[in-house]
Formats: sequence, structure tokens, C-alpha cells
Amino acid sequence: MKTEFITLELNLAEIKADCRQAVEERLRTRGAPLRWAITHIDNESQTATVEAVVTQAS
Amino acid sequence: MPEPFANHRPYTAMVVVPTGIGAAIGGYAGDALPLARAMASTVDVFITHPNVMNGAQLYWPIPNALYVEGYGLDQFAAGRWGLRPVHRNRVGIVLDQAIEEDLRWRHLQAAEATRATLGLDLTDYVITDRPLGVELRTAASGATWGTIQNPDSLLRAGERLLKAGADAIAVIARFPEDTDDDALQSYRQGQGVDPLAGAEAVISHLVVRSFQVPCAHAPALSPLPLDPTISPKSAAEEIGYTFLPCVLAGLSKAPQFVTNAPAQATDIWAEQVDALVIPATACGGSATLSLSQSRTLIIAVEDNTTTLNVTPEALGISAIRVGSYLEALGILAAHKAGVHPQSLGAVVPKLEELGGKKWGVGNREWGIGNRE
Repeated sequence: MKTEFITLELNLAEIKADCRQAVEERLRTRGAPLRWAITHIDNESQTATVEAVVTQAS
Repeated sequence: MPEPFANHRPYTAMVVVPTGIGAAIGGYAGDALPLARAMASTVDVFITHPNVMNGAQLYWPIPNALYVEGYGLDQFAAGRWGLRPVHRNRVGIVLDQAIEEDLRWRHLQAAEATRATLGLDLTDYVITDRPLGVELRTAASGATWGTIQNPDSLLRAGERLLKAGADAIAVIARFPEDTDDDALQSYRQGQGVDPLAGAEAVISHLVVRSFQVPCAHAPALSPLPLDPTISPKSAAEEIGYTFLPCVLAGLSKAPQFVTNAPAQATDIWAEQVDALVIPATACGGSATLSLSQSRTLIIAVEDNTTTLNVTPEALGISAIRVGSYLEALGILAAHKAGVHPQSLGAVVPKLEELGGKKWGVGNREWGIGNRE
């Protein structure tokens, strides 16, 4: 197993209905989510930045 | 926890101060603990996480507080796990192989002291079979994160402790000391972001995710040279050789996680959380997003500033904004008593026909936040 730090940009409109589930689904495409948070909202582009650490099989 | 009256269920509140984001209150050495003490005295059941309760050598036993590691807190808020209060946990200690012998003895003596002086129940300890290799990182947001090079070694050590009868796991990892000197000096002055916090959370999250048992972390570091100018908010980490005592005290009473066992009457689930108190600029965490989908009253505190600017409004979260934790305490007391805050003001707005103009547009039930 290895731990990796990643960032994602998500469209706010696409995740607002159920943010937690939407973020976790996107993170799972990069590994198993370990710790994450939405750390920035860009009001102009209506995007959310997610910073996360995921685990991956090594 | 106090016994509920016959027609009264326990009022349950949760406080989250995310770690590694420079929270003005709670971003340093256990400096949210006074807040925890005050909030716990206002509610029946108080749920929070190690970052709020841990003050290195200092801690404060709070009988109605549930000490829940962040990954477990996120699962609890999502409704996946419940919390089962305990009378005691037997705690096992993982020591990173990278810790030098002198420093290892300091930690073992701290552990022995919690047995002899506090009466805690510990298993024998385990040293990891490889150095954990903690690496620190500061992200674009200013938040600190971290990774470990040998997570499997940590999990092998945890597994040995569980086989030896541990109910909870304390991890002591050797943290690098070649960190940004300016960041360290700012932290000691009660400013900036804790450079270690993000990596600490990753370590404990990994253990909780893997084993579903309580876990918390204490970093192993060489003592810093004396600096008479340090901030009181950072002083708790300057008064000893280890940060371990608070971790062992917290874990000794931390609730166990209910993941698939039949429920017991004393188990606590997310739908029982009456209120969540968070910094107003840090609303993008998993627990907050989960509880924002429920009937939990969310209280966003403005003067607990952070490096982030993720507000409830930006995420469409219905929350009551308050200026300070003192004001949040008042809201909790009123909410628990069933008193609408509007009734405590000099002017009480008149009722209007349903569908007419509202006085406020905040929390859906209380209508007192985000004042227009």
C-alpha cells in the first residue's frame, strides 16, 4: 500500500446535491479515500478544489 | 453521561475544529480544550475529536465527552458507524522504528506514568518493523497534509496489538525536524498552520479505517530550545519530552465504533446529533457535509478564522452564523431548552401569513442565521 496526496477540481453544480458522496465517488477513481476536504471555492468558475490523501495498492 | 429524564432524550452536540488549517482557536497546542469544557457543560453528550481535546502533557477528563478520531467521526456523521461509550479501553502503543533510543525511553516512561499515576490499562508495546517514513506537505490552500512511506508496517504493528488484546491504538511516529523554520517559529508564536497536523491525521485515519478501533497519534520530536517568547497557545507542547499523556488519557475512554454489531440502547448515531459547531470558513469537511443533509443545527463561528474560505453559503449549507464561541454556547443552551433565539431579543418579530417575507433566511428550523 502507498499513500498519495492528490487534488481535484469539481464542478459545484454537479456536487451540491450530495457533496460528500459526490466527492468520495470522484476520489475513488484515484484510490481509497483516507482524508479529504473541500479547501477552496472559486465563485467565478463555480468550482470546488478538493485536497485529499488516498491509498493505493503498491 | 447524565441519566435522561423519562421524557427527555440527551441533547447531543458535536464540535469540529479541522486540524492543519491554522484555526485561530484549536489550531495550536490543545487551545480548543477550554471550548470543549464549556460546551460539554452545556449539553448532555459532547462529541469531538483528538485535535480539540489533546494538549500534549495537558488534558482534562470530561465525563460526557466522546473522543472520536477524525476518520471515525466522518463515518459516524455519514451514518455508517455508531459510537458505543465504554468504561475503559486497554490501549496498545505503536512506536515508529525511526525513533532514537533516548526518545523512545522518554515515551515509554510517559506511558508507564499513565499506568502508575492515572491507572490506565496498557498492553505491551510494539516497534514497527520498518521506519514509517513520515513526509510533510503544505498544499496550495495553506493546509498541511502528509504521507507515510511504509503504511503496511504501521498496520502490521496495529494488528499485533489487537491480537495482544488492545481495544485502542496510540501511534508514536518520528516526525522530520527539517521542516520550514519560519512555519515552526510562527506556530510557536501562536500563528500560522501546525506543520505536523495534517500528517498526524493521515496516520490515525489509516489505523481507524483499517481496524475500526479508536486511535490517536503523538509525534516524536526532539525537545526545542527554550524560547521565552512563545505564545501561551503553543506552550503545552513545550513543557515535556512527549505529547503522549493526553492521547493515552483520551483513548482510555474513547467510544468503540459500531460497524455491524447489533445496536445497543447506549449506542449513539448521527441522527441523534442535535447541533454541530464548526469554524465558518471550514465547512468543506466530510462530517459537516454529511450532517448538513440532516436536521442537525449547524452553527458556524466567524472568529475562529482559518487559512480556508469555504463558507456554508458557498456550499449551500443552511447554518446559523455567530461571531464567537461564547455566542455559540448561548445558541446551544437555547436550542437545548427549546427557546427560540428570537425570543431573547428586544424585539420579537410578528407572525406573518405563511409565504410572506421572513425576518431571516438561515437555518431552516430556526430562521435566525445569515441575517438580511
